[in-house]
Amino acid sequence: MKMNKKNLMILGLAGGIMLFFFGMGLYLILGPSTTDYRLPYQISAMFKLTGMGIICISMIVGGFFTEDLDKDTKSMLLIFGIVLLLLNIFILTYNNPYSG
Amino acid sequence: MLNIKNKDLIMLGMIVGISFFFIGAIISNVFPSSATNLTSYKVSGFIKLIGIGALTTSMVIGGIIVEGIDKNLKFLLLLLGLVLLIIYTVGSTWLIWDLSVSGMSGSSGETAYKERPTALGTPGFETIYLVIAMIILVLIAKVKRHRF
Repeated sequence: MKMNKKNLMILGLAGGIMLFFFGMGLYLILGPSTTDYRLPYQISAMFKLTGMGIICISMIVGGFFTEDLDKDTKSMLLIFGIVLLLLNIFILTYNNPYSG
Repeated sequence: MLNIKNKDLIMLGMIVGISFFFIGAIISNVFPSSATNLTSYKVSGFIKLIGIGALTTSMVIGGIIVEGIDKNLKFLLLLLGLVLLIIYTVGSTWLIWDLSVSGMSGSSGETAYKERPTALGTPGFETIYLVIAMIILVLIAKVKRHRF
């Protein structure tokens, strides 16, 4: 497969979404996080936020700079990329239930 | 050799994703978890989330690259995939272990955690993953050395 901008964006989207869901699953698998024991929460947050970061970059940069895509698809990627980024800024990155 | 197109791959991803979700749901119903053993809950939750992840990935990627379907349908696939992703982004913040509410002892969960085995063993079970990861790394290094 040739590594052009479109394929890189698709790879980033697929990898990011799977990382995000894998991080959510890890939170369950690694066992209860408590106020004393935060390792599952920390590992899960790292995977989820890495995934979300890759998704946002792929969507916003892909929506702006990928040439061989439909106009609708590009604007959809751009709008949802910005919405996701805003959601992450205001919700996901500031929500730590174990911070006391 | 199988001639697999993008459309078939996306279809396979959606089938696998939805089936994983239902397999996870079946596991949690057939093998109910208890206060002392949460293995079933953890395994079923992990499988369900991986399934939803595969479904979302297939829908979003399918909405971008799939060819040979109606343009409106393609757009709808992308839109619904992105909506699903947003729902799970917001929903993921609600996924927290709240041991004190679920009938376990202890006000903040520490007592419950110390008294009750967590399916994967006592606190400190992360070392198992560390050892497994090191073994895998050594194996990969050995395979690479043989190849080159």
